[in-house]
Amino acid sequence: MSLVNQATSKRLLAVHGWSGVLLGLFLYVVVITGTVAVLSQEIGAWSISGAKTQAPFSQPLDARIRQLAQTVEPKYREDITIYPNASGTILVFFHTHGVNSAGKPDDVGVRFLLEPGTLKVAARDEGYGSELPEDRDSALDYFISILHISLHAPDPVGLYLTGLAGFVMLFAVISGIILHRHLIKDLFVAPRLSSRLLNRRDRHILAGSWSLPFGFLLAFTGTFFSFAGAIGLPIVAMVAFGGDQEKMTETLVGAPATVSERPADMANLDSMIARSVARTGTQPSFVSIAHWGAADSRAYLYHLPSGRAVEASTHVYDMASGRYHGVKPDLGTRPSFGSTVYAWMGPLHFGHFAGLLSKLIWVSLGLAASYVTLTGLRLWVERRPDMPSGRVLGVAIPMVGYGVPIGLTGAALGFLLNYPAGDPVSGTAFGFVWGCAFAVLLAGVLIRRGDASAVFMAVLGLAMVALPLVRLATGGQGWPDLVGAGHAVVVMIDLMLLAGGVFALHRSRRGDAIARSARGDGQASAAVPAE
Amino acid sequence: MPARDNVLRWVMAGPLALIAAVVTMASMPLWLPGGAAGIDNLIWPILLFPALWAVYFLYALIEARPLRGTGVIAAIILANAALIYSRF
Repeated sequence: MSLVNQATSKRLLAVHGWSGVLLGLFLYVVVITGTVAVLSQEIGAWSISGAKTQAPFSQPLDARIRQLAQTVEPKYREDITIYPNASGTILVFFHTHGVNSAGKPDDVGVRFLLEPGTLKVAARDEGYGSELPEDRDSALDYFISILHISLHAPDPVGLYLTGLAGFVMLFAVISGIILHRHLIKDLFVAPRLSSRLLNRRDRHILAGSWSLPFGFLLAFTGTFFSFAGAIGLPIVAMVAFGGDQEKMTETLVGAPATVSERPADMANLDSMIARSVARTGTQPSFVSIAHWGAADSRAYLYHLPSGRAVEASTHVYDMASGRYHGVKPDLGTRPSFGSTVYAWMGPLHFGHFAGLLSKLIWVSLGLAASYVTLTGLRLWVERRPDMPSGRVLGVAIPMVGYGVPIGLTGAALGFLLNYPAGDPVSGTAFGFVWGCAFAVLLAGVLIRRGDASAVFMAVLGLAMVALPLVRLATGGQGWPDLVGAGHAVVVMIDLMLLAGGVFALHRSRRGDAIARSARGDGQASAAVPAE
Repeated sequence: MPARDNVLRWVMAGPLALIAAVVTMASMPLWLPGGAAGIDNLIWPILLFPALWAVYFLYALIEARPLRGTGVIAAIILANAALIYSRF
């Protein structure tokens, strides 16, 4: 039984359908890139055939940081951030805070890239954080993450766009719940075989019903992440701090009041890291040091969730004495309800709260949400075979539906071909653009065919199968070496690509046969692509 | 007057719902308690922004009388704007 009367139900259904038609493909792009971005860390490791070191923070960093601190201007010792990239190269950014050429608050300082193992300086760059050269080792995973976060559109337009996509999804889920007359029954519906349209409708309802809670979770957290920085922070800062965003960030982050600027010797960073590793059982993913060289200096060691914990944790050490100060809440200086809820937003959106297992579950649910988006659009088209907009969508759905994954495989190919000797940052971007352009051209060539899905799926399948082979051909390590070196995750991504590619090739042959048979029977509409 | 109702509903669900969500978020730090760490009044408005927008948007579609709905959302906007104005 519906929760609202018939007139309201009709209105909600109209907005549910039209918002989906107008923004559904755009929403699909955000969801499918987010699904891939869940594995960005693993894709980063895969793209360079495994990091050169498994424990980047267990290298003797203390002596190197002290040495480098002497080579930068004293103002840049205000904050130091230290983190490894996909290959295990350590990035050390000595910085202070300023306003960049775009007039935005930004970190400014000197960034060093330290080779894994030797910690030799591989590169030294100076300037604003947003203007420093991109890290070539992490070019592929970074490209995929930013594609999902802001579609590589300028800030804040990209965040507005992805936030809007999140809101459309949020509304689709809420209206879906209200409109569902038989939610419990729909969770167990058996797709009818009496007609293709009914079969597709039942499969859409089945996948959509099971995806509702996850869709709500993703849409809510995603809309929050897009709008928090682009709208929320500036507006709340304006009301509460007279527009001073830096002051608001300091209050939220819980930066300690300056205790003393008196110069002091720094305790051994390696010892603090070792104690933190022993305490949490994991390597930190990020280390930040405030006020290097001063008596009030603190080190913040950020660990991703481990054990039964869902939230990440930040462990604080006094840099002057080396004493442990305990776990710092994500927000503020004391535990609070607001900070706890905020700390859950990341794990719930990225799915990294239980390691690889939760990530793989999030990938599966993300694929289901992508499927629901596309099948919803297809149903709308099939019900309106004579509408011109339906014909346009009939071409656009397979073009975007398969074009974006083809673009992503193009990005990976661009990275692999350029990493050994070229510029992988540009190579990745060009690979994606070429992949997408190829999909558009293919759609143009096949426009008269009507059913283009099978061809798109064959292209995607071939590209996916080719990726592990190209990785090997461009100098990547083989499976026995990878397993021996503890890089099983690279083998896992290879296997996922091969399995996905073979599945797509199999489906393309089956889809083509169905379409040929349907065309033969005169049942296939030019506007309706086959499954 | 279905034409007028349609226009009102579009205005209510589009710009008014978004503006209402933004001004509600902006005024919340002024009346929400700071909590144990003194930051709850800053983070909850940002956390709840998507929900506020969704609630106003949904209300615009569910309200049977668009004129009354427009009045309600306009009143919410004005009340929150007055609260913010009183702060400066």
